[in-house]
Amino acid sequence: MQINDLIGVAILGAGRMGQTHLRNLSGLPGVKVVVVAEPKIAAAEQGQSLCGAERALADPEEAIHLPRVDAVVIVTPTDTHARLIELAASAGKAIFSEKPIALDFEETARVVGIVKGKGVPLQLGFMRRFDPGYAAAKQKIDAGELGRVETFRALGRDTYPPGLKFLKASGGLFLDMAVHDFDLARFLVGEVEEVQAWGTVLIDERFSQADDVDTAVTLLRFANGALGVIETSRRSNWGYDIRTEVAGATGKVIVESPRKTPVLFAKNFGSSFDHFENFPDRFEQAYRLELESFFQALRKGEPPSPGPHDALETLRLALAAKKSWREGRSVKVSEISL
Amino acid sequence: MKEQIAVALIGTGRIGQEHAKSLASIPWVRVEVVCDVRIEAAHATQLLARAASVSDSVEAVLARKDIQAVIVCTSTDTHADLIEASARAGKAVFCEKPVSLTLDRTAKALKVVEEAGVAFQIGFQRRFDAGYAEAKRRIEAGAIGRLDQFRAVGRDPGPPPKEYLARSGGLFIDQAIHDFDLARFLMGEVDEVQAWGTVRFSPDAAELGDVDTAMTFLRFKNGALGVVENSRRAVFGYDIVTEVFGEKGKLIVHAEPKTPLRHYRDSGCEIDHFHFFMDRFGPAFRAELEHFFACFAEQKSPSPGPADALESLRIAVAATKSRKERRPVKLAEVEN
Repeated sequence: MQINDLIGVAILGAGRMGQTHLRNLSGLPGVKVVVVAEPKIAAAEQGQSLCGAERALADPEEAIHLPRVDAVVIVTPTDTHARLIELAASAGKAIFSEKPIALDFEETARVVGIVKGKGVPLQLGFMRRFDPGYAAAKQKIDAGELGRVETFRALGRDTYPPGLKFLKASGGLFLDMAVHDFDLARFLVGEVEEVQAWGTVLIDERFSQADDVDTAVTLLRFANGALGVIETSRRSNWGYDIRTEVAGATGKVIVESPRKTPVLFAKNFGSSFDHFENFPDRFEQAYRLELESFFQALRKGEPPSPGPHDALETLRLALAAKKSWREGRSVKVSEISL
Repeated sequence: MKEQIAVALIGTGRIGQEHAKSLASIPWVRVEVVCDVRIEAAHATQLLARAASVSDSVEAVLARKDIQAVIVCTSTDTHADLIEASARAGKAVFCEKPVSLTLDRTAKALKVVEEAGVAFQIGFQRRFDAGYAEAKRRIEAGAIGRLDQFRAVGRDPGPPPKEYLARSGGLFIDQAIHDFDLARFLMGEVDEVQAWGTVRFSPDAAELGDVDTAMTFLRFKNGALGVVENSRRAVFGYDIVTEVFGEKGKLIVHAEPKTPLRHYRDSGCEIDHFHFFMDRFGPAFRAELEHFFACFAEQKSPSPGPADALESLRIAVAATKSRKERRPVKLAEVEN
């Protein structure tokens, strides 16, 4: 490999998640961060020093258009994703973006249309797919080791309820949080045909103020006939709690909420171990592997995955669940359309 | 942002390549040169390390005034000479274990390090594993009170090639030394050892006068007792388990499943095992380098340092002697 095979990257956004991606990009051979863009220029400069980028800019648009930029990594606030993806696609750059593209279906479909029209590669940050546990589960399911899949069970509990300001802009529990479990359902079992969601406020009245729920259960009917259930909660005092089970005719796979460290502490007739605190520590490896996979796909000239289709279909599923909760009835996923 | 530390990476085998990737992702470090006598190997690792240049001459690299630290990942028989040359050139040194296979040569190299007043860290990476680091923290906080017993299992997935075995120093010095280092790290210094060893499956080990299966008893200076079990083969994967038992509780660092996946089937439930040290201790290899350079930036002495390199080797040498002479051996008997 020659030095001119380096893929030049613009990273847009240098907040906490941006810094995680920056560090991971620094560890990727053949990838060079050319520019860090962030409206708060001090943060951009800090990001620049983390990865040895040549430039720090306040304006993401200027960064996208630098000639040495081949690919754009978008880690900005959600409401800016669609515009930046559109700009990057129009400039012919490959795109990795944090999820979601947008919170409404029309806007997402419009941007996906532009991306497909321009023929640029796009990968969405559904990082769980790259966790070695989920990746191994997928492999076994695809290899037919479970036989015909019958049920899917997922549980997602976040450690800390977010603040009211974040909540109001988040799209709500189904679009912001359960969407990761919806994506896993599609990834592991296949497309979903129908959903029924119940939601309630049990943890914090702020969720009512935001016209949202903090606790929910969603039932899924898959196109292949399997059934599924997803439990979602905005609070988990004992730590970040993500578990998934797929059962089939000849076996099942469970991806556990693993111990954070291999230490077991036994005392007073009981034993304890360490839980993960939140997504940055639980999925640390997955954040690295998703970027590795993105750049590998670019090198091979293959479309990266999860791509535009996954962005649209997972959003469709989340919107159907939200509609079901609001209207108190089961909703066909096909009801969500342009 | 503080000034970046200029580093030379010497040796580009398997662990050298792993270190190259870690170095590339530490923001306050810049790899100036990758050095290997095989220049094409140096070129291949240059990309991983994002290094400015390559060299096939250690002398030329050490003569460079701008290089502040060297990472030594060459073959074991070159470590001591490289440590001495680097220390004399005023470079901070991170070296893979061991410094040498003999106490005499190790002590001599470390004396040069001491006289040169340069920082030195030895690659006992297990200390930086999240599990062992957390166990250490709890022990120091007094969570399990007085320490009474230590138990370690160290099993490799399969025996190394005969050529490697012949130059390895034997099971105790090559393999069990990691468990001996954990014993010192978690419990304290060892006073006396008694080791038994045997050949169960490896004709190479028999031919070389080495063993493939061993048990070592430890008596610690603080009065606690310990046992270390080693095997060169475990058909199910890399098997590293450690237990510290104290008056108020115990700590176990398990051989964790490699992934959070459980696969239930007609024959039972399966979990994934780690294959070997590269996957089990991947994050620890990175963390040990971060520690080395954080200490460098803050002008602190890194750990594990020269005394750890020497004293862990001393246990291994004593265990080897005990096995051969079929008697308990005091560490004080085994002088430099």
